[in-house]
Amino acid sequence: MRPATHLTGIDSEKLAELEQLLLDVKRGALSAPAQFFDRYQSHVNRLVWSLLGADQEHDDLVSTAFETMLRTVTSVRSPSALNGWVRTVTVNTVRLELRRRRWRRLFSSDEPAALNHPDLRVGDAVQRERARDVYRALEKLDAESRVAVILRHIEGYELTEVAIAMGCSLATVKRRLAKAETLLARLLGGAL
Amino acid sequence: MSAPSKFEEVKTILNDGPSAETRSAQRARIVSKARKARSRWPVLVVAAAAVLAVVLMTTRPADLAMNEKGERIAVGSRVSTSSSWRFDEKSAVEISDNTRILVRKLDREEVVLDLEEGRVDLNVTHGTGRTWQVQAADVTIHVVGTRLRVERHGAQVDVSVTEGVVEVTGPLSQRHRVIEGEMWTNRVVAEVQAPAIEPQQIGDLTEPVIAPVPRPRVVVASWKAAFERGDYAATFDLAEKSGVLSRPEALTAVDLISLATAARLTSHLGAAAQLLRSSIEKAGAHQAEAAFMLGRLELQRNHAKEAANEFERAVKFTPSGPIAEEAWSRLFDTLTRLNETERLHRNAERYLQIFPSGSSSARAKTVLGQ
Repeated sequence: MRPATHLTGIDSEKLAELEQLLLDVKRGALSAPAQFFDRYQSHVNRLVWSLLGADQEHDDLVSTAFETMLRTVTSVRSPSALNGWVRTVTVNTVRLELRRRRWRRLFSSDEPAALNHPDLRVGDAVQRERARDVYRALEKLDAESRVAVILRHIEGYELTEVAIAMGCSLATVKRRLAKAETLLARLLGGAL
Repeated sequence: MSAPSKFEEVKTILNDGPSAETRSAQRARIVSKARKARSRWPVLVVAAAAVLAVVLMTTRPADLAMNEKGERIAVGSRVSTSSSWRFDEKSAVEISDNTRILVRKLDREEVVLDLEEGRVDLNVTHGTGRTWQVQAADVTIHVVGTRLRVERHGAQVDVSVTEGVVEVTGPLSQRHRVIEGEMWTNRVVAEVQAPAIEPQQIGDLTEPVIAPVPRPRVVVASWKAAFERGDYAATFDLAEKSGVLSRPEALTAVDLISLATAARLTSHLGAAAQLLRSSIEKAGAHQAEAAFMLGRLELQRNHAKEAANEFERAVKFTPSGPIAEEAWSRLFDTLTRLNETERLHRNAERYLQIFPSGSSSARAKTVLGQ
Protein backbone atom coordinates (compact mmCIF):
# COMPACT_ATOMS: atom_id res chain seq x y z
CA MET A 1 0.00 0.00 0.00
CA ARG A 2 1.33 3.40 -0.86
CA PRO A 3 2.04 5.52 2.16
CA ALA A 4 0.19 8.76 2.19
CA THR A 5 2.59 11.67 2.01
CA HIS A 6 0.86 14.64 3.50
CA LEU A 7 3.77 16.99 3.92
CA THR A 8 3.20 17.16 7.64
CA GLY A 9 5.68 17.41 10.43
CA ILE A 10 8.60 19.59 9.45
CA ASP A 11 11.85 19.40 11.37
CA SER A 12 14.06 22.42 11.81
CA GLU A 13 16.51 21.42 9.08
CA LYS A 14 13.76 21.07 6.54
CA LEU A 15 12.28 24.34 7.76
CA ALA A 16 15.54 26.10 7.02
CA GLU A 17 15.51 24.58 3.54
CA LEU A 18 11.97 25.78 2.98
CA GLU A 19 12.89 29.21 4.21
CA GLN A 20 15.73 29.42 1.71
CA LEU A 21 13.51 28.13 -1.07
CA LEU A 22 10.84 30.69 -0.29
CA LEU A 23 13.40 33.48 -0.27
CA ASP A 24 14.87 32.35 -3.59
CA VAL A 25 11.48 32.18 -5.26
CA LYS A 26 10.40 35.55 -3.91
CA ARG A 27 13.55 37.31 -5.01
CA GLY A 28 13.28 35.69 -8.43
CA ALA A 29 16.45 33.62 -8.37
CA LEU A 30 17.05 31.98 -11.75
CA SER A 31 17.25 28.54 -10.24
CA ALA A 32 14.12 29.03 -8.09
CA PRO A 33 11.48 27.50 -10.45
CA ALA A 34 13.58 24.35 -10.89
CA GLN A 35 14.24 24.12 -7.15
CA PHE A 36 10.56 24.58 -6.44
CA PHE A 37 9.56 21.89 -8.90
CA ASP A 38 12.13 19.43 -7.56
CA ARG A 39 10.92 20.00 -4.03
CA TYR A 40 7.22 19.56 -4.69
CA GLN A 41 6.79 17.61 -7.93
CA SER A 42 6.33 14.28 -6.17
CA HIS A 43 3.51 15.52 -4.00
CA VAL A 44 1.81 17.56 -6.70
CA ASN A 45 2.03 14.72 -9.22
CA ARG A 46 0.62 12.30 -6.66
CA LEU A 47 -2.34 14.50 -5.82
CA VAL A 48 -3.24 15.39 -9.40
CA TRP A 49 -2.79 11.75 -10.46
CA SER A 50 -5.35 10.43 -8.03
CA LEU A 51 -7.75 13.39 -8.02
CA LEU A 52 -7.97 13.61 -11.79
CA GLY A 53 -7.71 9.87 -12.39
CA ALA A 54 -4.42 9.59 -14.26
CA ASP A 55 -5.90 10.80 -17.52
CA GLN A 56 -4.20 12.38 -20.51
CA GLU A 57 -4.53 15.93 -19.19
CA HIS A 58 -2.49 15.15 -16.11
CA ASP A 59 0.70 16.87 -17.29
CA ASP A 60 -1.18 20.04 -18.30
CA LEU A 61 -2.74 20.26 -14.91
CA VAL A 62 0.53 19.73 -13.07
CA SER A 63 2.01 22.52 -15.19
CA THR A 64 -0.95 24.79 -14.37
CA ALA A 65 -0.60 24.08 -10.67
CA PHE A 66 3.10 24.98 -10.68
CA GLU A 67 2.57 28.12 -12.76
CA THR A 68 -0.06 29.26 -10.27
CA MET A 69 2.22 28.55 -7.36
CA LEU A 70 5.24 30.32 -8.83
CA ARG A 71 3.09 33.32 -9.63
CA THR A 72 1.43 33.60 -6.22
CA VAL A 73 4.05 32.26 -3.82
CA THR A 74 4.77 35.83 -2.66
CA SER A 75 1.57 35.56 -0.64
CA VAL A 76 3.11 32.86 1.57
CA ARG A 77 4.49 34.60 4.63
CA SER A 78 6.00 31.75 6.56
CA PRO A 79 8.08 28.79 5.34
CA SER A 80 6.17 26.52 7.72
CA ALA A 81 3.01 27.32 5.76
CA LEU A 82 4.53 26.44 2.40
CA ASN A 83 3.77 22.73 2.36
CA GLY A 84 0.11 23.18 3.28
CA TRP A 85 -0.20 25.99 0.78
CA VAL A 86 1.19 23.84 -2.04
CA ARG A 87 -1.36 21.16 -1.20
CA THR A 88 -4.23 23.63 -1.14
CA VAL A 89 -3.26 25.25 -4.45
CA THR A 90 -2.94 21.84 -6.10
CA VAL A 91 -6.30 20.67 -4.79
CA ASN A 92 -7.93 23.92 -5.94
CA THR A 93 -6.38 23.65 -9.39
CA VAL A 94 -7.89 20.19 -9.81
CA ARG A 95 -11.24 21.27 -8.36
CA LEU A 96 -11.46 24.07 -10.89
CA GLU A 97 -10.73 21.66 -13.72
CA LEU A 98 -13.30 19.16 -12.47
CA ARG A 99 -15.95 21.89 -12.30
CA ARG A 100 -15.12 22.96 -15.84
CA ARG A 101 -15.45 19.40 -17.00
CA ARG A 102 -18.90 19.01 -15.44
CA TRP A 103 -20.00 22.12 -17.23
CA ARG A 104 -18.49 21.01 -20.56
CA ARG A 105 -20.28 17.66 -20.25
CA LEU A 106 -23.56 19.47 -20.76
CA PHE A 107 -22.47 20.34 -24.29
CA SER A 108 -20.03 17.64 -25.26
CA SER A 109 -19.26 14.01 -24.46
CA ASP A 110 -15.65 14.37 -25.54
CA GLU A 111 -13.92 14.10 -22.16
CA PRO A 112 -10.63 12.47 -21.24
CA ALA A 113 -11.20 9.01 -19.88
CA ALA A 114 -9.82 8.14 -16.49
CA LEU A 115 -6.84 5.82 -16.12
CA ASN A 116 -5.69 6.48 -19.67
CA HIS A 117 -2.33 8.09 -19.10
CA PRO A 118 0.42 6.42 -21.10
CA ASP A 119 2.51 5.97 -17.94
CA LEU A 120 -0.12 3.76 -16.33
CA ARG A 121 1.08 0.16 -16.30
CA VAL A 122 -1.15 -2.33 -18.06
CA GLY A 123 -1.53 -4.66 -15.09
CA ASP A 124 -4.63 -6.69 -14.43
CA ALA A 125 -7.30 -5.74 -17.02
CA VAL A 126 -10.21 -6.71 -14.79
CA GLN A 127 -8.80 -4.76 -11.90
CA ARG A 128 -8.23 -1.79 -14.18
CA GLU A 129 -11.80 -1.92 -15.45
CA ARG A 130 -13.10 -2.03 -11.88
CA ALA A 131 -10.92 0.99 -11.03
CA ARG A 132 -12.37 2.78 -14.10
CA ASP A 133 -15.86 2.02 -12.80
CA VAL A 134 -14.91 3.81 -9.60
CA TYR A 135 -13.79 6.87 -11.53
CA ARG A 136 -16.91 6.81 -13.67
CA ALA A 137 -18.95 6.78 -10.49
CA LEU A 138 -16.79 9.58 -9.07
CA GLU A 139 -17.67 11.65 -12.14
CA LYS A 140 -21.30 11.63 -10.96
CA LEU A 141 -20.26 13.54 -7.85
CA ASP A 142 -19.74 17.28 -7.73
CA ALA A 143 -16.11 18.38 -7.69
CA GLU A 144 -15.98 19.00 -3.92
CA SER A 145 -17.40 15.60 -3.01
CA ARG A 146 -15.13 13.83 -5.46
CA VAL A 147 -12.05 15.54 -4.07
CA ALA A 148 -13.13 14.73 -0.50
CA VAL A 149 -13.68 11.04 -1.30
CA ILE A 150 -10.34 10.67 -3.09
CA LEU A 151 -8.33 12.49 -0.44
CA ARG A 152 -9.95 10.38 2.25
CA HIS A 153 -10.16 6.93 0.69
CA ILE A 154 -7.36 6.87 -1.86
CA GLU A 155 -4.82 9.27 -0.43
CA GLY A 156 -5.58 8.22 3.14
CA TYR A 157 -5.98 11.74 4.57
CA GLU A 158 -7.43 12.17 8.04
CA LEU A 159 -10.74 14.04 8.07
CA THR A 160 -9.11 17.16 9.47
CA GLU A 161 -6.46 17.02 6.76
CA VAL A 162 -9.18 16.79 4.13
CA ALA A 163 -10.89 19.83 5.65
CA ILE A 164 -7.66 21.84 5.65
CA ALA A 165 -6.77 20.87 2.09
CA MET A 166 -10.24 21.85 0.89
CA GLY A 167 -10.52 24.97 3.01
CA CYS A 168 -13.80 23.97 4.62
CA SER A 169 -15.04 22.81 8.01
CA LEU A 170 -14.81 19.31 9.38
CA ALA A 171 -18.59 19.15 9.52
CA THR A 172 -18.80 20.00 5.82
CA VAL A 173 -16.29 17.30 4.96
CA LYS A 174 -18.21 14.70 6.97
CA ARG A 175 -21.45 15.70 5.36
CA ARG A 176 -20.01 15.56 1.85
CA LEU A 177 -18.35 12.22 2.48
CA ALA A 178 -21.47 10.66 3.93
CA LYS A 179 -23.58 11.73 0.98
CA ALA A 180 -20.92 10.77 -1.57
CA GLU A 181 -20.32 7.35 -0.04
CA THR A 182 -24.02 6.54 -0.12
CA LEU A 183 -24.26 7.50 -3.77
CA LEU A 184 -21.08 5.65 -4.72
CA ALA A 185 -22.24 2.51 -2.94
CA ARG A 186 -25.46 2.63 -4.94
CA LEU A 187 -23.67 3.27 -8.22
CA LEU A 188 -21.04 0.62 -7.64
CA GLY A 189 -23.56 -1.94 -6.43
CA GLY A 190 -22.43 -2.59 -2.90
CA ALA A 191 -19.89 -1.79 -0.22
CA LEU A 192 -16.92 0.32 -1.13
CA MET B 1 -8.68 -13.21 2.90
CA SER B 2 -11.38 -10.73 2.16
CA ALA B 3 -11.60 -9.08 -1.25
CA PRO B 4 -9.80 -5.72 -1.45
CA SER B 5 -12.07 -2.67 -1.33
CA LYS B 6 -12.78 -0.81 -4.54
CA PHE B 7 -10.55 2.02 -3.40
CA GLU B 8 -7.70 -0.38 -2.71
CA GLU B 9 -7.93 -1.58 -6.26
CA VAL B 10 -7.78 2.01 -7.48
CA LYS B 11 -4.66 2.63 -5.43
CA THR B 12 -3.03 -0.43 -6.91
CA ILE B 13 -3.79 0.68 -10.45
CA LEU B 14 -2.65 4.25 -9.80
CA ASN B 15 0.63 2.89 -8.50
CA ASP B 16 3.47 5.43 -8.38
CA GLY B 17 2.21 8.09 -10.69
CA PRO B 18 3.83 9.34 -13.90
CA SER B 19 7.22 8.07 -15.01
CA ALA B 20 10.55 9.75 -14.45
CA GLU B 21 10.65 10.79 -18.12
CA THR B 22 7.26 12.45 -17.80
CA ARG B 23 8.39 14.31 -14.69
CA SER B 24 11.53 15.41 -16.43
CA ALA B 25 9.48 16.78 -19.32
CA GLN B 26 7.21 18.55 -16.83
CA ARG B 27 10.25 20.18 -15.22
CA ALA B 28 11.61 21.45 -18.49
CA ARG B 29 8.25 22.89 -19.49
CA ILE B 30 7.64 24.63 -16.17
CA VAL B 31 11.14 26.10 -15.94
CA SER B 32 10.95 27.34 -19.54
CA LYS B 33 7.58 29.03 -18.92
CA ALA B 34 8.91 30.63 -15.73
CA ARG B 35 11.89 32.07 -17.64
CA LYS B 36 9.67 33.51 -20.37
CA ALA B 37 7.37 35.09 -17.80
CA ARG B 38 10.40 36.59 -16.07
CA SER B 39 11.74 38.15 -19.26
CA ARG B 40 8.38 39.77 -19.96
CA TRP B 41 8.35 41.72 -16.70
CA PRO B 42 10.87 44.45 -17.50
CA VAL B 43 9.13 45.20 -20.81
CA LEU B 44 5.73 45.45 -19.06
CA VAL B 45 7.10 47.71 -16.34
CA VAL B 46 8.71 50.08 -18.85
CA ALA B 47 5.52 50.21 -20.92
CA ALA B 48 3.39 50.97 -17.87
CA ALA B 49 5.78 53.70 -16.74
CA ALA B 50 5.67 55.30 -20.19
CA VAL B 51 1.88 55.35 -20.22
CA LEU B 52 1.75 56.87 -16.74
CA ALA B 53 4.22 59.59 -17.72
CA VAL B 54 2.11 60.55 -20.74
CA VAL B 55 -1.04 60.69 -18.64
CA LEU B 56 0.58 62.89 -16.00
CA MET B 57 2.12 65.28 -18.52
CA THR B 58 -1.04 65.86 -20.51
CA THR B 59 -3.46 66.35 -17.63
CA ARG B 60 -3.50 68.43 -14.49
CA PRO B 61 -5.99 68.71 -11.66
CA ALA B 62 -8.90 70.96 -12.45
CA ASP B 63 -9.19 74.22 -10.54
CA LEU B 64 -12.19 73.53 -8.37
CA ALA B 65 -12.23 76.87 -6.56
CA MET B 66 -10.54 80.27 -6.75
CA ASN B 67 -10.59 83.44 -4.70
CA GLU B 68 -11.13 87.01 -5.91
CA LYS B 69 -7.43 87.31 -6.80
CA GLY B 70 -7.55 84.28 -9.05
CA GLU B 71 -5.58 82.18 -6.58
CA ARG B 72 -6.47 78.54 -6.33
CA ILE B 73 -8.30 77.31 -3.22
CA ALA B 74 -7.24 73.85 -2.18
CA VAL B 75 -7.37 71.49 0.76
CA GLY B 76 -5.53 73.12 3.63
CA SER B 77 -6.25 76.68 2.46
CA ARG B 78 -6.77 78.86 5.48
CA VAL B 79 -8.23 82.36 5.35
CA SER B 80 -8.43 84.94 8.11
CA THR B 81 -9.61 87.99 6.16
CA SER B 82 -12.65 88.70 4.08
CA SER B 83 -12.63 86.83 0.80
CA SER B 84 -14.89 85.67 -2.01
CA TRP B 85 -14.56 82.17 -3.35
CA ARG B 86 -16.04 80.90 -6.59
CA PHE B 87 -16.36 77.21 -7.34
CA ASP B 88 -16.31 75.34 -10.66
CA GLU B 89 -20.06 74.60 -10.51
CA LYS B 90 -20.92 78.22 -9.68
CA SER B 91 -21.27 77.83 -5.92
CA ALA B 92 -19.95 80.79 -3.95
CA VAL B 93 -18.68 81.46 -0.47
CA GLU B 94 -18.41 84.95 1.05
CA ILE B 95 -16.11 85.20 4.01
CA SER B 96 -16.63 88.19 6.27
CA ASP B 97 -14.03 90.27 8.10
CA ASN B 98 -12.53 88.77 11.25
CA THR B 99 -13.38 85.29 10.07
CA ARG B 100 -11.08 82.29 10.16
CA ILE B 101 -11.95 79.40 7.89
CA LEU B 102 -10.07 76.27 6.84
CA VAL B 103 -10.71 74.02 3.82
CA ARG B 104 -10.67 70.45 5.11
CA LYS B 105 -11.83 68.74 1.95
CA LEU B 106 -12.30 69.88 -1.62
CA ASP B 107 -13.01 67.51 -4.50
CA ARG B 108 -15.74 66.87 -7.02
CA GLU B 109 -17.85 64.96 -4.50
CA GLU B 110 -17.50 66.96 -1.35
CA VAL B 111 -16.52 70.28 0.20
CA VAL B 112 -15.85 70.47 3.93
CA LEU B 113 -15.14 73.85 5.54
CA ASP B 114 -14.13 74.37 9.11
CA LEU B 115 -15.41 77.69 10.47
CA GLU B 116 -13.11 78.49 13.33
CA GLU B 117 -14.51 81.92 14.02
CA GLY B 118 -16.67 84.57 12.34
CA ARG B 119 -19.24 84.48 9.56
CA VAL B 120 -19.53 82.83 6.20
CA ASP B 121 -22.36 83.06 3.64
CA LEU B 122 -22.82 80.25 1.19
CA ASN B 123 -24.70 79.99 -2.05
CA VAL B 124 -24.53 76.35 -3.05
CA THR B 125 -25.65 75.39 -6.54
CA HIS B 126 -28.42 72.80 -6.78
CA GLY B 127 -28.10 69.44 -8.46
CA THR B 128 -24.34 69.13 -8.89
CA GLY B 129 -24.11 66.02 -6.74
CA ARG B 130 -21.48 67.69 -4.62
CA THR B 131 -22.23 67.71 -0.90
CA TRP B 132 -21.19 70.55 1.35
CA GLN B 133 -20.43 70.48 5.01
CA VAL B 134 -19.59 73.32 7.34
CA GLN B 135 -18.17 72.43 10.71
CA ALA B 136 -18.42 75.03 13.43
CA ALA B 137 -17.38 74.07 16.96
CA ASP B 138 -19.22 70.81 17.65
CA VAL B 139 -21.97 71.52 15.16
CA THR B 140 -22.03 70.16 11.62
CA ILE B 141 -24.16 71.70 8.90
CA HIS B 142 -24.96 69.54 5.86
CA VAL B 143 -25.81 71.53 2.77
CA VAL B 144 -27.24 70.37 -0.54
CA GLY B 145 -28.15 73.28 -2.80
CA THR B 146 -29.16 76.21 -0.67
CA ARG B 147 -28.30 79.69 0.63
CA LEU B 148 -27.38 79.98 4.24
CA ARG B 149 -25.29 81.80 6.77
CA VAL B 150 -23.22 80.17 9.48
CA GLU B 151 -21.97 82.29 12.32
CA ARG B 152 -19.68 81.20 15.08
CA HIS B 153 -18.46 83.11 18.11
CA GLY B 154 -16.51 80.84 20.38
CA ALA B 155 -18.78 77.90 21.10
CA GLN B 156 -21.92 79.69 19.99
CA VAL B 157 -23.13 78.74 16.53
CA ASP B 158 -26.05 80.19 14.57
CA VAL B 159 -27.24 78.79 11.24
CA SER B 160 -29.67 80.91 9.19
CA VAL B 161 -31.24 79.47 6.04
CA THR B 162 -32.51 81.87 3.40
CA GLU B 163 -33.22 79.33 0.72
CA GLY B 164 -33.56 75.57 0.73
CA VAL B 165 -33.05 73.15 3.58
CA VAL B 166 -30.04 72.19 5.64
CA GLU B 167 -29.51 69.55 8.23
CA VAL B 168 -27.70 70.49 11.38
CA THR B 169 -26.10 67.86 13.57
CA GLY B 170 -25.57 68.98 17.13
CA PRO B 171 -22.84 67.94 19.56
CA LEU B 172 -24.81 64.93 20.81
CA SER B 173 -25.55 63.79 17.26
CA GLN B 174 -29.06 65.20 17.49
CA ARG B 175 -30.22 66.22 14.03
CA HIS B 176 -32.32 69.23 13.11
CA ARG B 177 -33.80 70.10 9.78
CA VAL B 178 -33.65 73.84 9.27
CA ILE B 179 -35.77 75.22 6.46
CA GLU B 180 -35.69 78.58 4.78
CA GLY B 181 -36.75 81.34 7.08
CA GLU B 182 -35.39 79.59 10.14
CA MET B 183 -32.34 80.11 12.25
CA TRP B 184 -30.92 77.31 14.31
CA THR B 185 -28.75 78.12 17.30
CA ASN B 186 -27.02 76.08 19.93
CA ARG B 187 -27.58 78.82 22.49
CA VAL B 188 -29.80 77.54 25.26
CA VAL B 189 -31.45 80.75 26.31
CA ALA B 190 -35.23 80.70 26.26
CA GLU B 191 -35.58 83.71 24.04
CA VAL B 192 -33.29 84.45 21.15
CA GLN B 193 -33.75 87.47 18.97
CA ALA B 194 -32.47 86.55 15.55
CA PRO B 195 -30.78 89.40 13.69
CA ALA B 196 -32.15 90.33 10.29
CA ILE B 197 -29.93 89.42 7.37
CA GLU B 198 -28.92 92.52 5.44
CA PRO B 199 -29.26 92.39 1.68
CA GLN B 200 -26.05 91.49 -0.04
CA GLN B 201 -24.80 89.76 -3.07
CA ILE B 202 -23.58 86.25 -2.79
CA GLY B 203 -22.33 84.74 -5.97
CA ASP B 204 -21.91 86.12 -9.47
CA LEU B 205 -22.51 89.76 -10.03
CA THR B 206 -25.12 88.85 -12.57
CA GLU B 207 -27.27 87.28 -9.86
CA PRO B 208 -29.93 89.45 -8.30
CA VAL B 209 -29.22 91.06 -4.94
CA ILE B 210 -30.78 89.17 -2.12
CA ALA B 211 -33.79 91.02 -0.80
CA PRO B 212 -33.96 91.67 2.93
CA VAL B 213 -35.42 88.65 4.65
CA PRO B 214 -37.78 88.79 7.58
CA ARG B 215 -36.33 88.08 10.98
CA PRO B 216 -36.12 84.28 10.95
CA ARG B 217 -38.01 82.13 13.36
CA VAL B 218 -35.59 80.74 15.89
CA VAL B 219 -35.23 77.05 16.40
CA VAL B 220 -33.44 76.71 19.68
CA ALA B 221 -31.61 73.59 20.66
CA SER B 222 -33.49 73.34 23.95
CA TRP B 223 -33.92 70.47 26.35
CA LYS B 224 -37.65 70.52 25.67
CA ALA B 225 -37.12 69.98 21.95
CA ALA B 226 -34.80 67.11 22.75
CA PHE B 227 -37.37 65.60 25.15
CA GLU B 228 -40.10 65.80 22.54
CA ARG B 229 -37.83 63.94 20.17
CA GLY B 230 -37.23 61.26 22.75
CA ASP B 231 -33.55 62.08 22.97
CA TYR B 232 -33.21 61.77 26.75
CA ALA B 233 -29.45 61.95 26.87
CA ALA B 234 -29.54 65.28 25.03
CA THR B 235 -32.41 66.43 27.25
CA PHE B 236 -30.47 65.89 30.43
CA ASP B 237 -27.27 67.30 29.00
CA LEU B 238 -28.88 70.46 27.66
CA ALA B 239 -30.82 70.98 30.88
CA GLU B 240 -27.66 70.61 32.90
CA LYS B 241 -25.67 72.99 30.65
CA SER B 242 -28.38 75.61 30.70
CA GLY B 243 -28.50 75.55 34.51
CA VAL B 244 -32.21 74.67 34.83
CA LEU B 245 -31.44 71.67 37.01
CA SER B 246 -30.00 73.95 39.67
CA ARG B 247 -33.09 76.20 39.56
CA PRO B 248 -36.04 73.80 39.84
CA GLU B 249 -38.18 76.48 41.40
CA ALA B 250 -38.19 78.21 37.99
CA LEU B 251 -39.70 75.17 36.29
CA THR B 252 -43.29 73.99 36.17
CA ALA B 253 -44.33 70.71 37.78
CA VAL B 254 -44.79 69.11 34.37
CA ASP B 255 -41.32 70.23 33.26
CA LEU B 256 -39.88 68.79 36.44
CA ILE B 257 -41.54 65.42 35.78
CA SER B 258 -40.28 65.46 32.17
CA LEU B 259 -36.75 66.20 33.29
CA ALA B 260 -37.03 63.54 36.00
CA THR B 261 -38.07 61.02 33.33
CA ALA B 262 -35.07 61.95 31.18
CA ALA B 263 -32.78 61.75 34.20
CA ARG B 264 -34.13 58.35 35.25
CA LEU B 265 -33.84 56.91 31.74
CA THR B 266 -30.24 58.05 31.50
CA SER B 267 -29.41 56.58 34.90
CA HIS B 268 -29.12 59.89 36.74
CA LEU B 269 -31.25 58.47 39.55
CA GLY B 270 -30.23 60.93 42.24
CA ALA B 271 -31.07 63.88 40.01
CA ALA B 272 -34.36 62.23 39.03
CA ALA B 273 -35.35 61.79 42.68
CA GLN B 274 -34.54 65.43 43.45
CA LEU B 275 -36.57 66.65 40.48
CA LEU B 276 -39.57 64.56 41.50
CA ARG B 277 -39.43 65.89 45.06
CA SER B 278 -39.38 69.41 43.66
CA SER B 279 -42.39 68.55 41.55
CA ILE B 280 -44.32 67.14 44.53
CA GLU B 281 -43.70 70.38 46.43
CA LYS B 282 -45.69 72.24 43.81
CA ALA B 283 -49.36 71.73 44.57
CA GLY B 284 -51.45 70.34 41.76
CA ALA B 285 -52.95 67.30 40.09
CA HIS B 286 -49.52 65.98 39.16
CA GLN B 287 -48.50 65.30 42.77
CA ALA B 288 -49.83 61.76 42.92
CA GLU B 289 -48.06 60.85 39.69
CA ALA B 290 -44.80 62.39 40.90
CA ALA B 291 -45.03 60.59 44.24
CA PHE B 292 -45.78 57.27 42.54
CA MET B 293 -42.80 57.74 40.15
CA LEU B 294 -40.60 58.63 43.09
CA GLY B 295 -41.72 55.50 44.93
CA ARG B 296 -40.73 53.34 41.97
CA LEU B 297 -37.45 55.18 41.67
CA GLU B 298 -36.64 54.61 45.34
CA LEU B 299 -37.36 50.91 44.88
CA GLN B 300 -34.93 50.96 41.96
CA ARG B 301 -32.36 52.50 44.29
CA ASN B 302 -33.14 49.85 46.92
CA HIS B 303 -34.53 52.44 49.32
CA ALA B 304 -37.58 50.42 50.40
CA LYS B 305 -38.51 52.65 53.37
CA GLU B 306 -38.46 55.78 51.22
CA ALA B 307 -40.39 53.92 48.52
CA ALA B 308 -43.11 52.95 51.02
CA ASN B 309 -43.36 56.58 52.16
CA GLU B 310 -43.82 57.78 48.60
CA PHE B 311 -46.44 55.14 47.71
CA GLU B 312 -48.32 56.10 50.85
CA ARG B 313 -48.10 59.73 49.84
CA ALA B 314 -49.31 58.86 46.34
CA VAL B 315 -52.46 57.14 47.64
CA LYS B 316 -53.09 60.05 49.99
CA PHE B 317 -52.96 62.44 47.03
CA THR B 318 -55.22 60.24 44.95
CA PRO B 319 -56.93 57.48 46.92
CA SER B 320 -59.02 56.41 43.96
CA GLY B 321 -57.50 58.10 40.95
CA PRO B 322 -56.04 56.55 37.76
CA ILE B 323 -52.85 55.33 39.37
CA ALA B 324 -54.39 54.48 42.71
CA GLU B 325 -54.77 50.70 42.32
CA GLU B 326 -51.19 50.39 41.16
CA ALA B 327 -49.91 52.60 43.98
CA TRP B 328 -51.86 50.60 46.61
CA SER B 329 -50.51 47.34 45.25
CA ARG B 330 -46.94 48.61 45.39
CA LEU B 331 -47.52 49.94 48.88
CA PHE B 332 -48.69 46.52 50.10
CA ASP B 333 -45.66 44.88 48.44
CA THR B 334 -43.20 47.28 50.01
CA LEU B 335 -44.71 47.20 53.51
CA THR B 336 -44.75 43.40 53.40
CA ARG B 337 -41.12 43.41 52.39
CA LEU B 338 -40.31 45.77 55.27
CA ASN B 339 -42.36 43.66 57.66
CA GLU B 340 -44.24 46.74 58.86
CA THR B 341 -47.32 44.84 59.99
CA GLU B 342 -49.13 47.65 61.78
CA ARG B 343 -48.77 50.05 58.88
CA LEU B 344 -49.84 47.27 56.49
CA HIS B 345 -53.02 46.65 58.53
CA ARG B 346 -53.86 50.31 58.65
CA ASN B 347 -53.50 50.69 54.89
CA ALA B 348 -55.40 47.47 54.18
CA GLU B 349 -58.35 48.80 56.17
CA ARG B 350 -58.25 52.08 54.32
CA TYR B 351 -58.02 50.29 50.99
CA LEU B 352 -61.09 48.13 51.63
CA GLN B 353 -63.08 51.21 52.57
CA ILE B 354 -62.33 52.73 49.17
CA PHE B 355 -62.12 49.56 47.07
CA PRO B 356 -64.23 46.83 48.70
CA SER B 357 -63.95 44.77 45.48
CA GLY B 358 -60.75 46.17 44.09
CA SER B 359 -57.93 44.17 42.50
CA SER B 360 -56.04 44.08 45.82
CA SER B 361 -59.12 43.44 48.01
CA ALA B 362 -58.38 39.73 48.45
CA ARG B 363 -54.89 40.57 49.55
CA ALA B 364 -56.08 43.28 51.93
CA LYS B 365 -58.55 40.83 53.49
CA THR B 366 -55.80 38.29 53.96
CA VAL B 367 -53.68 40.90 55.73
CA LEU B 368 -56.61 41.63 58.03
CA GLY B 369 -57.25 37.94 58.61
CA GLN B 370 -60.68 38.03 57.00
